[in-house]
Amino acid sequence: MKELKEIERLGIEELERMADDVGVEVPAGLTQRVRSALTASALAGETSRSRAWRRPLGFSLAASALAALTLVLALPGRGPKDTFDDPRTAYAELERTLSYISEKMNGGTQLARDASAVINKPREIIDKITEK
Amino acid sequence: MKSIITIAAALLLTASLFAQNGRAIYEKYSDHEDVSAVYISPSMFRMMGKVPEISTGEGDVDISPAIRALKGMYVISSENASINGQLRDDVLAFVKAGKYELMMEAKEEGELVHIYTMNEGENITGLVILASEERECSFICLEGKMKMDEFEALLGAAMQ
Repeated sequence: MKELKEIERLGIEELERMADDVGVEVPAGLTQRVRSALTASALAGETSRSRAWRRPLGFSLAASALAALTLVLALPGRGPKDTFDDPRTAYAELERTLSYISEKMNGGTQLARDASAVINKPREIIDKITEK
Repeated sequence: MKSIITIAAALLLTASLFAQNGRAIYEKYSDHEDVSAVYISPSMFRMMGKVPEISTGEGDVDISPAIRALKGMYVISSENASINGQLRDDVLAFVKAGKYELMMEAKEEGELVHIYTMNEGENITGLVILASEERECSFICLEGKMKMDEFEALLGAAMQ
């Protein structure tokens, strides 16, 4: 039996002559094995191709979902319903809230002033003693 | 598989980032029992700025530009003990996630008040107040870009 290297070196004419030679015995089940190998190869190619297009599709879908989520959440028009329909009532509530904010800020400032007075007391005492 | 997990994580991160804002906190708590909620939209602020008696105010200062600059006000005042802790945690997470800075913290008569501001140069772009007592928790979020003196004018007008 010829080896693969020897077959590769043969010319087309010689290969045709050998193929026509009925004296060469064909191994049993060769045709079936070749067909199976060709079918398996075709299926493998199909699977890798389908995986190849599935991945970018997955990325595209995920990117679209991310973009849609961002858009839906960031849309400036969306939001809760206004509590008030009348701007005057709304302003009254704004005034009340701002007054509350101001009160809290003033409260904090007053606490800081009180603390500052307490902190300065020992210094005042020391100053009085040193003056005498 | 790894890329799907990464994308899913990105989706969750996006959702969680958006969840940490005044609107999300308002929407989360406004429908609970024993909770009073107020929302004023940018369009309502614009309408307010056009009402003559509001525009001129009681003093000499025209506060209408400052009012029109406001982009939203969210107020949640809860007396529901079962959600107060969560509300406080959500507000603290929100200010931590944003560019808010602690402007003032004061504790008086059992009430702890935190005031946070978000600034851009000389402008104030957001203000958050979190006031918590034993049974009550209040959250105020004011959004809008205005100069500090405009904001002070607003506060002054409210005190008149």
